[in-house]
Amino acid sequence: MDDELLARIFTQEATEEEIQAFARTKPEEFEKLKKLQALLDQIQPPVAENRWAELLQKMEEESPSQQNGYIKNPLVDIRSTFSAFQRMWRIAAVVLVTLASLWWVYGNYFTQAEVKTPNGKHATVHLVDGTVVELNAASKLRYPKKFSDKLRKVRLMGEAFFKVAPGSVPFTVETQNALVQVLGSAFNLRQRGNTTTVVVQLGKLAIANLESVGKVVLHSGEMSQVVDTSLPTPPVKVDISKMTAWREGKLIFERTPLHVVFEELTRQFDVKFKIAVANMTNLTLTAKYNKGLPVDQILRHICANFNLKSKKINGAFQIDEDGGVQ
Amino acid sequence: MNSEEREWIKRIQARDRESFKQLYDQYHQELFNFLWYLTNSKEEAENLTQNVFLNIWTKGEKWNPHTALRSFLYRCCKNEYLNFIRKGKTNPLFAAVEITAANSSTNFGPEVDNEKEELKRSITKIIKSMPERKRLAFILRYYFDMPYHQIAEILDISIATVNRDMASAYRILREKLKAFLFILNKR
Repeated sequence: MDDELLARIFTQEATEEEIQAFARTKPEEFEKLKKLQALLDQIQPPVAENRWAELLQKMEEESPSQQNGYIKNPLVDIRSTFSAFQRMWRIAAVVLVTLASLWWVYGNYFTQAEVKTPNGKHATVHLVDGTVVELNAASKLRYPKKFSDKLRKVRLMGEAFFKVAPGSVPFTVETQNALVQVLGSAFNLRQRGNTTTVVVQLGKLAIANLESVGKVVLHSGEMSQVVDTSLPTPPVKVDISKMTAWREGKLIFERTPLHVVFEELTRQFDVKFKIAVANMTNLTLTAKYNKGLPVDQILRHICANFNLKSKKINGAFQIDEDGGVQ
Repeated sequence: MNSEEREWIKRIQARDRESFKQLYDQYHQELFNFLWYLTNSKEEAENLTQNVFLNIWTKGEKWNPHTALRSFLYRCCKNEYLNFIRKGKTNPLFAAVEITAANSSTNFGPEVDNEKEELKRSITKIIKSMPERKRLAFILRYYFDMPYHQIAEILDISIATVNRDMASAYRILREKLKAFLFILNKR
């Protein structure tokens, strides 16, 4: 076996035929190779800090309009005022972007507004009462343009983190199958299919099914779930940071069924999967992926763990069982 | 290079801040990742990333990518890193060892247990022990999924050399990580 071929198989540069031939003839060596990959996959970079503001400052210093000799030129003066104006505008833009959804709401004539995130995108919504809602990917929030003085009610599909502004009027979130009522708290609410899960980060809230039956009161760090029309489960203590890791762009799976993992990857990375794996229901994943990790790398890690292989065909990832070894 | 990319580059050359910000937003984490694999230090990688972007801005029209934008940015990172190694310490090998030792403990979150962290540190050290060019080629292929021809472009070497480098990188890793494969077996 020559080293170049081995290296190409190792770095996934080899053709499908070469890999299969190798896996057939040298199963032991192939197994070692995969373990080596699993070892190397543990080395993952941390999240970089966004240092744009600092960079901008340095850019100003480097800007030629500030160099001696140019200053006396009136044309340059105009340019530098313009750039100061631009600078201000850019700072304002950052604020504006966050408020854009709010502005959009005021701009339309409907009483209800809606913010929807596609796959691969998160969004932050500022409601009129001061409540802040962070929407996860593939989610939708419907809310009234103006809250009445008796009720603050919004509707959620998908997942969001709420920081409810305190107030005398209860804040209610409705999902497909559950109602959550709070007086001011921070919580994460997730609706997937016919299951709604809520965890409280701060404060206190009540959850019930859509018929407002079986109200369960939750405190900080507690979780409850409503499946279909069932009553909410009693409160259980959970690690809230894991449930809200999505807000930092992290992915945390704990004994998560593999098909759920793929659904989540679709939401977060806007990628498609074609899955041809029998008996996937028994496979669960426990892993943590940091922000900024490319989806290819995550897939490679998953595949190495479950003896799967992935291949990109027509923009979708085809996931197959890896027949060569077992 | 597609026409959209060329337009984008033109606007950056003309010092359009919005376009430059776009470049930063799109690439800073990715380039940081690359520099992190090279330096194994969050702080150094962040500083070098800043330098790369600042250089592009300062150069203005003189910054003229002749290859695909992504490849070109990686080239910038490579050069920045090599400069850093050259400038920082007289002996690059020596510098490499020091950087690993000084920063390895801060690279990973506190939640990771000691044994795992120890393992990661050892693997990092072994990757670090490879000759520079081989290590660069290996990192680009393994952690960034770059095809061989693109690696050749970034590192200014021939595809045949990439082939050879990858083979010897693999050989080195296989030999040096032998002991760790055993650890993994036990789990």
